[in-house]
Amino acid sequence: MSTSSVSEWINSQREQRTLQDWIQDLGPFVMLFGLMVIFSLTTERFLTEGNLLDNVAKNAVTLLLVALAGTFPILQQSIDLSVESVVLLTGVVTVVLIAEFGLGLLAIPIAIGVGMLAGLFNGLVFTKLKVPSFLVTLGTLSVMAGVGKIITGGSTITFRNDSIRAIATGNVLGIPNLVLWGLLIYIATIVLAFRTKFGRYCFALGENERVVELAGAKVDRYKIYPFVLSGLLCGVAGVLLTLRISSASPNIGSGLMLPSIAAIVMGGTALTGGVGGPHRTILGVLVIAVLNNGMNLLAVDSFVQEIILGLVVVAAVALSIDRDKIDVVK
Amino acid sequence: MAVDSVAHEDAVGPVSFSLREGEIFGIVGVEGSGKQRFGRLLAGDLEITSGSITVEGTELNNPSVSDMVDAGVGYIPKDRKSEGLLLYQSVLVNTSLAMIRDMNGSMPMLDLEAEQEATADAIEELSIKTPGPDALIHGLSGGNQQKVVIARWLAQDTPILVMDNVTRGIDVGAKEEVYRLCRELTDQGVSIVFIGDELPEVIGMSNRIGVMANGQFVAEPFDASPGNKPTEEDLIQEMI
Repeated sequence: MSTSSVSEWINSQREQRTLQDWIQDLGPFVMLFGLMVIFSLTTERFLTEGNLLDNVAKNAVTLLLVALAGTFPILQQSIDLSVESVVLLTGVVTVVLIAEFGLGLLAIPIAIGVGMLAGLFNGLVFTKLKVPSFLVTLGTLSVMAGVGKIITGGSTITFRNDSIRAIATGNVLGIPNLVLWGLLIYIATIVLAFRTKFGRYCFALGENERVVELAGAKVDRYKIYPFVLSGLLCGVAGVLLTLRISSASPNIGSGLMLPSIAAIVMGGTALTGGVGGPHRTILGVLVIAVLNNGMNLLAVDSFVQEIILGLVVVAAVALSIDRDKIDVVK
Repeated sequence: MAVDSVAHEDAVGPVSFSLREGEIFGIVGVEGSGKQRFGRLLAGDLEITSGSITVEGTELNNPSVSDMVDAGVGYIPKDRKSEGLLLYQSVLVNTSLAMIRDMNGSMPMLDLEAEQEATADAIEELSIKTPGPDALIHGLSGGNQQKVVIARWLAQDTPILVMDNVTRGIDVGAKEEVYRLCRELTDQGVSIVFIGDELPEVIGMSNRIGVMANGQFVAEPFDASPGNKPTEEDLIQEMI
């Protein structure tokens, strides 16, 4: 190869890289926008305030909270599979504390505290007993679902308290409280990720734990925090979900875990850790929420919906993964 | 820093030595002599099964890396790519990786301004060639990468540095800069444990040189003050 062809080759590589960067940055946006255009053209109801706020946004909030919860363990190259069981457990605890113990508002912080304890348990087993987080949380996924279901006694439990319920069902200036809670927590997680030591260590641990350790960080502590935060956010999700419908069935939260992981990865947080962040997770959540809503409006067969959702997730991940930073794909 | 007959199981020690303020203490030895593990032990990265380390009057028993950093000891590992740097993070994140520990006391927030200031200072004082503080470490030359690892400890005025082959894999110009930097630091009272595979380099840099074999110092440290340097042959004789 002559010198000029080498430099041409380097330049072409450079151009390819920028195109890839471009796709990876804008991929989820394009996909979201594309889906919205398709559903706006094919259905009359999609692009109405009622549908976007009451159906898409409200239904997206639970998935958003769970996906934000899962983002931090994944950022540090762990994973929390127990998210949906924490939603179940904390939801059930909320209803029981209000209905049977008459604790009223106090039920909310207690339920969220239960979520944090569940996360702390995950984190402690993971770091102190050195069990991979995948396995710890696979175990607690099952354990906590079982505990929650036992508490319900196998049937839906309900409470009646309209003032507490209003926390989730009310409106401020026409915007549902549920959506406002979701946005508030979304912003809080961005601050956590980019303005705190916790967030910095999360990214750093995800890239190379040895470097962080040799820089003098208390590594175990910072490996536990993401799980506690995950428990907290799933607790909030469980509380809001049960307040919204005044009840908890033995299977609330089920089926949230896989879509939440899909949303996280679609947003650009790689399962290999260190890159991405909660600010992008919302994109993946919206793609899934819009897709679900649009297909319902189009009355797509629910089995076909599963197929389409799966294909879109794979396509979105293929577009959004930052391959420059990933050496090996397993 | 005084090290009182520390050992790691059968692999290192018992070793005793004391590091004087503002000196460079060189450590040489063949592969497997234990000099590298001794460095890790000083960094808190290898369990101390007996003995203790005293830093500025505080005795530490089997300290963690975090404890040693608290005591004022910074470690610069041999392999900067796997242990020294977050390659896909910025110059800023890598420079401030140690100083963020104590940022704002026990408060959780980062002090972005302090980080930017420290990084700008490091880039200027160590003449780190980088497009800017937000450039990824990945794209810097080996010498400039290594300067960032050193800057991480200077950013929080670490008084004792343990360097394992600090000039490994960097070009001649950058080596000279690192040598000059080390001398400037010792003039300011910083003490350096200088572990090296290159004998001429260790001889040139050190005030005293300890020779390690089988995890122990084989003799009293050589005096290596200017005009009184041991030859490579002197050291090799002790090493093997």
